[in-house]
Amino acid sequence: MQKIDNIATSTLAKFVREGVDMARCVATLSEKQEFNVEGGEFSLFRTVFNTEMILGAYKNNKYGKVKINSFSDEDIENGIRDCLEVAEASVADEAYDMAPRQGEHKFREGVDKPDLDKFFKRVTELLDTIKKEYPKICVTQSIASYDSNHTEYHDTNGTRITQITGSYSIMIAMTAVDGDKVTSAKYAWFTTGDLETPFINQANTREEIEDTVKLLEAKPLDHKFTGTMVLKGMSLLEFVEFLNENYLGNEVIKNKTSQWYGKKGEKVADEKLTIRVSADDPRILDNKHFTKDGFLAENVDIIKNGILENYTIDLYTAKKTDFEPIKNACESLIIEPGDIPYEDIIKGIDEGIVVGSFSGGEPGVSGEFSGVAKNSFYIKDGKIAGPVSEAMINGNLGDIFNNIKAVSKEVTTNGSAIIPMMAFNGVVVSGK
Amino acid sequence: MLQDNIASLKESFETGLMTELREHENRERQVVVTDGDVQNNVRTNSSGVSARVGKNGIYGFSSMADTSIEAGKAVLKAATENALFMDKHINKERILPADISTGKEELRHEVIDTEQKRIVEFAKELDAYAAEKCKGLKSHSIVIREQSREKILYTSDGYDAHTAIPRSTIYVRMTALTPDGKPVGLFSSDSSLGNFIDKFKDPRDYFKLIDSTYESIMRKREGVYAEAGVKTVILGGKMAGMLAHEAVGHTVEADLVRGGSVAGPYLNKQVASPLISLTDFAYEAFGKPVPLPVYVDEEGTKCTDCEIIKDGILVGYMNNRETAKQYGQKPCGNARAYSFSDEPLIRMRNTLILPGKDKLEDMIASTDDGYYLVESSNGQADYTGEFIFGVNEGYEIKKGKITRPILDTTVSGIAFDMLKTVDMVSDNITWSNSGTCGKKQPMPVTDGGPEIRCKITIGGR
Repeated sequence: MQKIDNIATSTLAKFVREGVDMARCVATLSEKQEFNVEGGEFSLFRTVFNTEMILGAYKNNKYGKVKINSFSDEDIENGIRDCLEVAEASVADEAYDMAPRQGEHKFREGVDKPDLDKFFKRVTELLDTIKKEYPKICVTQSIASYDSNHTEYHDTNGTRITQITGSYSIMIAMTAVDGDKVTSAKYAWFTTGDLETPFINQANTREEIEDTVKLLEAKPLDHKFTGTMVLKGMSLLEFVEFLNENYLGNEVIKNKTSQWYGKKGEKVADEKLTIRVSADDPRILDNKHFTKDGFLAENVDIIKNGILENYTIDLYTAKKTDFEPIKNACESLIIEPGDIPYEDIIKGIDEGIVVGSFSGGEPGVSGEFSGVAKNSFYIKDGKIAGPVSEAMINGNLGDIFNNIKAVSKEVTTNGSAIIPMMAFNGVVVSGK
Repeated sequence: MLQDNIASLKESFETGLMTELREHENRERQVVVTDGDVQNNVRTNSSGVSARVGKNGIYGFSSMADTSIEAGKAVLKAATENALFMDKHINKERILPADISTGKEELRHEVIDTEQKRIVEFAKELDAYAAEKCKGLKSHSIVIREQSREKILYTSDGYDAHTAIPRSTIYVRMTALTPDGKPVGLFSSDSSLGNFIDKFKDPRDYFKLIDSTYESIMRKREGVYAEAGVKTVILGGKMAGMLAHEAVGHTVEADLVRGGSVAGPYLNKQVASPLISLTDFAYEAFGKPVPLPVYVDEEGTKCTDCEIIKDGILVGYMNNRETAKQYGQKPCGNARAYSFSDEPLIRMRNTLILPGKDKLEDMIASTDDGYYLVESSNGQADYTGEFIFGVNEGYEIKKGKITRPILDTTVSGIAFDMLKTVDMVSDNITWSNSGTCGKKQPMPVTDGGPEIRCKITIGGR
């Protein structure tokens, strides 16, 4: 097989011969070595070799996109023909555009070659440790994989970006079971390059397991109050994603339904809130170095000290709205920590709830959210009083991000995101 | 149509190993037109070959993005090596897969490619109609999606098969403002088995879908918040389907039962009102084809209907060959894989609460104070059967009559508690055909049911 960069180059040359105004080719070679665990026992060893090519063609202000998973000459020829037909079928629109020349760049990060024997031993050790130290934990499913990707982004404006990455990732889905008592599903997940440290001691794995065991004693919340909601780990990430979708992203900015439309440069949230997306943070193992429009990724502040700095919109939406596109693929999120220890945040709460995960209706552009606080702990008089079940939380996204009580100095780093704990006032919590 | 490049490799399957070899192609065409702009216009083809090899109850899998015979040989070799590696390193009590029948399933549906231009023009015409007729909206979108999954499967001890399942869907999404300027959204869809070119012949046939969505959202603009608490609720067929899939279906997938799901201890026990029966259908229900027929699963099991709840009693799980052996049940063909690079997992197919004998109008007329919930936005549930669904479209019932629409809300509960409160079940069913389930891999699924009346916790502020 030809080298992947030569394949991308020759594909672009074919587009040019077809008379396009602009074109891009994003070619990826990937390999996955994956161990699967079901019911706490290994069940499958999976090896996947894949290729993917994304083709984009611009002609007469029309744009078409095709995805194929073959690098054969015949399939690429067919893909190019398809792509031109897709573009021809479209509607002319000056907003279809590609980033200007970004130059040539190469990035190589993470683990070049996997040590599968050592990886397998670490996964085995993790499962054995859970069985021995936490016998009430049932590992419903675990997926442990080594993934490597070599991607070439080439476009006719002269941008060539090479990105080569490799990393190990672990996902554990678990419940705690004690007789007839079963907890809700809980997840621990991280990406790493470190095979020296036992997996149970990486990211927040041990804490998630211990919380799951405690949840066996959960009691239904028996009253309703307006208090403080503490989001940690994935639950904070989930709420930030809701914010992105309903206040910052392409659809709501283009159709002007975002409540933050036209508020760039203004204070939209509490000054304790700073959200960035990373291009080169060394704690992130899979920084994405280019956007789908062909911009070289930069570190970008989305909200800085409560001020809206950037929407998370692509070039198309930017040209439709006259805002700037974000020069980041928005896959590596960093929420800036505060300066208060988590323990002190809890001490300062009269009544509240620590939410492990949120299960509810998606908020929509009104920002109203309502759902079950899963895997959660009740806070009373500055102390964690115990795990609770069947607690509902209600509020408004825009309101709570304007009502941040505190941000912890500690962060969880899982290889893809860096997240502190965050406490919000004014959330309605209701029990049975 | 997928060319069979791997047939000759069946002779090379090693004796004593359980082997599946699969050539597989997925296609997707998608067009999104929002307020006159073509926002998404993309065609995706993904194909390759994979093998899964079992040795003493443990498995190796390998795949390549290539459908040639050479790729078939390579994945068979790699999957065998992976199985041998696991067999050597894992000391556990192994469960051998249940025996299944052998045979051959011939292709029943063909994948026919549709020109992108035709899909774009269709979407543009619907968009233009909405722009002209639906005044006062903040935004509207038309989404057209055509998906197909085609596979050629050879197995060492089950069915060989060539199957294809094309599905085509139109979504209509609208956003409007309430009188006090708050945005409200609504979506609706029309989806069916078949290629776009066969199913969606004339855009004018779908103007009524736009009209009804518009009518509903303009009513919803004037909606009120639902009163929070445990209420008498009539769940529409699509909501009942979501309950069947999310809150009951996942808890009775045998891999999750093995992982500690709440359904484990309930087998052969009363889990619902005697009015409730629930089945995961394979390819026909009540003598008619189901929306998403599955004839042979990716383990080579010839698909049959899987009865889950009968007259309120939990009577079975959904299984693969291994869990079927473990639980002493019959595998019904629920082991499905999404793409060429995916291994088979226990998945639902067409999951339906069976119809009863009541008339919807009688159910509404006999409800003094409650809600009629028609359309769900999303749903989540877990191993405990605790569920929460977003409600996108619903109405108050006062003194036996539908009155005001309600704004977005949620309903929640514990499935096996809530199902015991069902006191009326309507005699008709509504399928929701456009769903995709997520469980490691995405998977097209359908679900549905009759209207059911029950007690349920409805959210509020």
